[in-house]
Amino acid sequence: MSAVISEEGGVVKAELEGRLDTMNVNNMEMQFTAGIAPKAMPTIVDLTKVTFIASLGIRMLLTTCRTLDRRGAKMALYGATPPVMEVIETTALSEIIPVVGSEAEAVAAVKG
Amino acid sequence: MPPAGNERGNELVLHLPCTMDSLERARLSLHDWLGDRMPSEGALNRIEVVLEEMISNVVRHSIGATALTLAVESGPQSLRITLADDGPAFDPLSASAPKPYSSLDEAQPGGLGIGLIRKLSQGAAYERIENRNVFTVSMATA
Repeated sequence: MSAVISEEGGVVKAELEGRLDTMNVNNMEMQFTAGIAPKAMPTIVDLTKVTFIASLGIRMLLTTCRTLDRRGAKMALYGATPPVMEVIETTALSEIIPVVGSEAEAVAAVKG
Repeated sequence: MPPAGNERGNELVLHLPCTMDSLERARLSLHDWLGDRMPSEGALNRIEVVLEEMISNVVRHSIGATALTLAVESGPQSLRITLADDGPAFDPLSASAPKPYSSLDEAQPGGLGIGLIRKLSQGAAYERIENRNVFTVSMATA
């Protein structure tokens, strides 16, 4: 599992790769949150290469998004594969965080 | 080292320590056992999520559990997954379902795991048998 965090055009981009399962989230949640939340900038999260997500992964995305929201910044997810999308929809995360198909749509969602 | 256990035709039985490592060991053992009975991609993902949540729930929250027994039984277009642990009595189904999300600010991050088990399975049941928690879930394979 890896998380690459970069900045471009006033937007933070987090590219996640691998399985967002219990063990991996335990190992990388701190890095993910610390790399995003203090910036308090519009943030997009690339899920294209995430092959699996369980409840701790959903919790990590939710808590990071909520922290950003309280600091006045938006976060959007994009590129979820069908198995990952099913879990996102089952937990209703997509009701409160924008989940879109492409990077361009995600940028538009957080800058709008 | 492979987990202690055995495979008896339509049933997989694994004896695992109550540790985080057991999550991945159970998943890989399940994959090996499924072999050519592999469910559809969507069903397999739902089975993996539910298995992860069942084991994670005990490993992360039980105070006192040391050993797990995982049994997976194959039926017609379904799998019956049973997880037993030797921790204090706890019915994971006793918790009320988390409130539906209405806003980001009010969203509670807890209770997601049991919610996923309830929604992705065909049914779930808890029993306390001989000082062990026994949690059984039925999963569709199609």
